[in-house]
Amino acid sequence: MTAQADGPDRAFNRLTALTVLGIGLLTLMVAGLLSGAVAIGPTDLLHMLGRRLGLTSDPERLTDSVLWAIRLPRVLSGAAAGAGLGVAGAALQGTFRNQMADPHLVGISPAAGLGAVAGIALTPTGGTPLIMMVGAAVGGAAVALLMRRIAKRVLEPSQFILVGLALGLAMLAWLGAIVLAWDSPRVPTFTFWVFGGLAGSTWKALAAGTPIVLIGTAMLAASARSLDLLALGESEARHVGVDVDRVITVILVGVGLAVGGAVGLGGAIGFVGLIVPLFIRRWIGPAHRWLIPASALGGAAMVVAVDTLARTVASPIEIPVGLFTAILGAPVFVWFLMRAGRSRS
Amino acid sequence: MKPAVRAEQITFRRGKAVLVDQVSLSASPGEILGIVGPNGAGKSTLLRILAGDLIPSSGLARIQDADPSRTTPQELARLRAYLAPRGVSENPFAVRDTVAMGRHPHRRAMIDTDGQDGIVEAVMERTDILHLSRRAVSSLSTGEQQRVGLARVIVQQTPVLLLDEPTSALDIGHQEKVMQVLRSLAREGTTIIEILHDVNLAAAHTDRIMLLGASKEIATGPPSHVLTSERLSSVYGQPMEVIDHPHRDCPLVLTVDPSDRAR
Repeated sequence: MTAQADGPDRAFNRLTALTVLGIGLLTLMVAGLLSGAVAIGPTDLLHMLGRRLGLTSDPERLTDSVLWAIRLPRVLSGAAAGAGLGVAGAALQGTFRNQMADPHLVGISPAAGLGAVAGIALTPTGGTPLIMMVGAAVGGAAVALLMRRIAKRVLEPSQFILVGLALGLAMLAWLGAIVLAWDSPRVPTFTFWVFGGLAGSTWKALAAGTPIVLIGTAMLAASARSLDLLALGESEARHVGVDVDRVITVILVGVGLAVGGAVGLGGAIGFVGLIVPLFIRRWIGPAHRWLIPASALGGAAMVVAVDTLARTVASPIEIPVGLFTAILGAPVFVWFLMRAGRSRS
Repeated sequence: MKPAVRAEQITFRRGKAVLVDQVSLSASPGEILGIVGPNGAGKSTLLRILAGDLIPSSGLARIQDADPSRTTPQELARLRAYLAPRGVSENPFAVRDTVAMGRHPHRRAMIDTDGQDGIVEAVMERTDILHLSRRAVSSLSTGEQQRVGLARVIVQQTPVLLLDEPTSALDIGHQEKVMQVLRSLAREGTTIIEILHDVNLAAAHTDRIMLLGASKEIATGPPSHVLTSERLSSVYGQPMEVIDHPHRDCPLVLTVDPSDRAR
């Protein structure tokens, strides 16, 4: 672990960080709304907003429907998914005291995918977005709790990640088998479950996924103090009065909800939950009451930005957003680990 | 006086091994009880049973009349503080924040009362870590981390302190300083039970010593009664000589080269 001095400028840093992240997110969201195959300018955006808010009664333009029906739900879905992955990563790293913990690497995202498909399969009507996301949340939470049991037996942090990876790959294989064999239009494609994708974003899915992400985030934010105390170690946290088992269960269910909502909205988008909290912790320190909201903003900003890139860089071809987060995120993560290794030795 | 800590006929088994065998003890308010004995004698297991970490296979443990295995973590954290034997901490929090975490059991819901009354700073001063206040715990040396742990345990302000080798990583100057801090806490009424590897530290700074050997209680009493050369030589399997400390009113234990024994 790198040395993190709590300098006098840290309180200032925290407010600056939240402000910068908030403004950055808004800017990226607007940029996302304005970029794409159909050229849309700021005035078109204002026009659409004016009409939707009932401020003007100008006639509807083509850009209005592109913005309203396609881009806005997509940008908002990206933000909600990114926020869920960011807070889940921060909470997992805190709970397991493991900088490599990430919803993807410890098998929670694949479990959410499996849960989502199970949700669709088990409803005869074909599965509403809500059922899919609840399934994802249940699957994610179940594997998060299973990983906690595994963490109790596996002491080495890297072993823990390897177990998570192995479990995740197995679940992904099952998911692939089901999706490919079933071959139903009701089920998102295998690519969606491996590399994510925001192309199919709808208001209906957004309305189902956002509350789930928000509830998960609220549970994690409410557990901020317990997450801080867990940095002492589980038994030390218990010695200062934390009901460790109960608190960790709440946290992991919160993680399941945040990841479940995110996976339901955007599929499996990797590396967001890993690198966003790592950088934010370096920036503003380890206190979770700041780390959780900042990771939400940072994760949202990262997914919105990367998704905009993914759909414009090779336009009209869309690259799945998770491919891009992996291409960008993996080297950053390796660099981070090497830095940490150097400062230790 | 009513004991603050009481253990009666505690036995702890793991599989077929008996780690603690029918051990009883009691400590009164304001008393410092040292537990000494060779590796594997069951000292840490006994302390963890008192702390509520382990449930004894049989026997009874009480902290201020509460059964540690049946008390909620928060209530228990107001009765006893426990310092684990030192490992290396990866804790990224600053020293002051970490010490303030010891105030957690006294925190009222939703209101952040950490570090009020200047308790945190006062204890950091006494344990000589005030100058490290803003450093991350993970960046400190083992001895500094041990002092941080001790400060965190002291700010918990519990009637009972259970310390597993609180000075194992400390230099001799800090060892003495910590022992004096503990003595002044005992004068204010705190009951302290501590495992010490350094027999002379135990001899000079405890009121009573319990000597454990092979999971059993060998002897308990004032240092000058418990620490005899025959007893120590047989428990540790190493010839020892006990003399009077030239300046302090306590015994002084010296190891003897086995081949010199005849002289």
